[in-house]
Amino acid sequence: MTAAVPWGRLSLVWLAVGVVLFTEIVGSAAAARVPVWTAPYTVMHTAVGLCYAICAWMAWRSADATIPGRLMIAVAFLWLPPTFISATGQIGWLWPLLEGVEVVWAVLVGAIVLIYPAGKLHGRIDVGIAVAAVTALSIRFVCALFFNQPVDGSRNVAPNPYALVVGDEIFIFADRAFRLFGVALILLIIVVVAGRWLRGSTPARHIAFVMPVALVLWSAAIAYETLVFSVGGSVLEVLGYISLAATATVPIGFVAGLSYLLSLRGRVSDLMVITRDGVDRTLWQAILADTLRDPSLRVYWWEEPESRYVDSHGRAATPSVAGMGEHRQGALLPINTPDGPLAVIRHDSALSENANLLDAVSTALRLSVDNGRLRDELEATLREVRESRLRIVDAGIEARRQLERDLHDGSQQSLVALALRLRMAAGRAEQLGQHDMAADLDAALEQLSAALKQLRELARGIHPTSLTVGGLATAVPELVAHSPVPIEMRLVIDRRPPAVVEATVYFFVAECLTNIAKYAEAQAGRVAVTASATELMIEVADDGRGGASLGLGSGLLGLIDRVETLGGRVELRSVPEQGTTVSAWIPLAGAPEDH
Amino acid sequence: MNARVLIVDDHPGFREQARRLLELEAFIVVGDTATAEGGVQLASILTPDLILLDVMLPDAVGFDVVPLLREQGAVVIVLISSHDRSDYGCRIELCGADGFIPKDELSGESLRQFVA
Repeated sequence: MTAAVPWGRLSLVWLAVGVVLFTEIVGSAAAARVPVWTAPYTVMHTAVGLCYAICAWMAWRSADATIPGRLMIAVAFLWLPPTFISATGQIGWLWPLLEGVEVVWAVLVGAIVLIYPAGKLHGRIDVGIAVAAVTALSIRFVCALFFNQPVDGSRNVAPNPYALVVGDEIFIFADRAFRLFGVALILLIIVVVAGRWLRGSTPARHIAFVMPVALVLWSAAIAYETLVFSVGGSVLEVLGYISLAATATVPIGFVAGLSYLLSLRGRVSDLMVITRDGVDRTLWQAILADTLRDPSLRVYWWEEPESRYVDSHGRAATPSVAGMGEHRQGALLPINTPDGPLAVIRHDSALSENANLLDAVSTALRLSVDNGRLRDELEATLREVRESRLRIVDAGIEARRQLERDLHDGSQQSLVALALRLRMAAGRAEQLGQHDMAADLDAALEQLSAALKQLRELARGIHPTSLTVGGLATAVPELVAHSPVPIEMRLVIDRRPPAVVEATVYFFVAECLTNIAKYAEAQAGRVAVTASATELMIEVADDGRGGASLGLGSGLLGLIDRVETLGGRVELRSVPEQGTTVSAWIPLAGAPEDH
Repeated sequence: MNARVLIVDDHPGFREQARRLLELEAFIVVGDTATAEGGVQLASILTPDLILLDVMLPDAVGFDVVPLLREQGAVVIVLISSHDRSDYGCRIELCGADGFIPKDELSGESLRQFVA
């Protein structure tokens, strides 16, 4: 099946068409044969020749092997009408040659039947039949050339320059013997093909059913013609038509069978789609059996850990052609990968005739397994990456929390102790009447309180205590309370979500409120945090100037990363002059449960 | 009558300073402890008039300890913290404590309003 047009073959087909038309027209016009062919019969005879030429072209275009096409084109060239041979009777050097090759087409047609559908002979019987036919044909050709010199005027022909003896009795005997032998060979071919058909399972029968029918018709007509010819009678005209029709059926059946195989390949294309989509391996057997129209098909999968094959149900099994049923022959198709065996497919041996089909099937199976493995690896990698991102985010939040704790336990406590000491000193100074010193100590105490306040603000920015202590229910109101823009708040949280989720939500809301205060030019805003059984929904809206984006430079980008790390998503709706709404959804399952 | 005070805070430096400050201000510090559990035990033994209870204790959050201390009897509970009041939102009011004093603002005067 090449896409480019093979011009050489096309020319050959056109030449064959020309030869067929030429010989038929010349033969018909010469009217040298007795009895003269009727016009319908000539037309029918011509049609058969043309049929072979056309089918040769189609076989070349669709079959894997080139032999069927070559045989068919040869039949077209050698489809010499007896009328044409009779017309050449006065050309001494030509007519013996033509009589010699007169029945070659019949041997070629028999060969076409035998090599169907794979384009090669199937066994020793086939080879034996072919050798016998070629030998008989050669003997007949030799007789036609050298022992074919009519003397009694029964045939009005020019002298045969190749004749070795006078008289044509030997040739006529050889001709009749050849025809009878031919009929015997045809009967043998019928038996062989019919046996092959019976032994084959559904696919083989689908592929081959046309051929025995065509063959039986053809052989019956030829046998009848031969017998009648041998005893010197005249052939019924209707049988002549049947014979021609049967002869034409052979290449048509061949090409039809090839089309069927092509349709099977189309099914293999569907198999590739299944491969792409991925399918559980327990279903492969049913899919392949349906694709290849072979209900006896079995798939045995290799189990690496146990070093054994199992069937589609997972039971240990040994691939075997036994149990195919009567009259059926099975074949095993091992499918291996570079890593070792993958599976064995037991199928009807009829399918072996199409190596490309089985190649496609095994490729599909390999691809499917490779796809599945790659998909698993990819999913595992993605899972690792997701978990790793989550750990990084979690570690970041934990680090901030630790930093805040260290500040609280270290510097803050020291400064608090210092404040108390200063207060005591100030009290004592006051008691001792040292008012100036007391005033200085009070001033120092105020400075210290201011420093402590700054330190608290710093700690709150790192990780708010309110979040640690009271969760979102405490921390979000505190955020809202610090907002310079009036914010309406709605919190619906039954229980505390995981710490990493809490922190993410908190900083998300904090960033949104900062944006409202800095850029939105809003009169009012709204914060809603709503928890359902499965997710947390956060919405921060304002009535400001809108036109916000999540582009570079937006402080939200890092927070979107965090939300997505938790398996959530963020949406921004911001229409100029119509305010901005930022929404986020965070799933509550899967995050580390830790406070 | 001088008020009897129990200090519950996990920072020894603060406990020491607070004790000295309060004693200077004529309070009687009857005991101090670093944990919520110790606080509850001492409260039952010492029956103080006032308990200074840190919010962030190693074994509990002060807010959750308030109800346990309340069970010990009529006692004034004042939460203390080195954080700001705003860090705790409404939890201070909700937990049932009598008041809140940032640690650096602790003084006899600030406490006296609770035991007047």
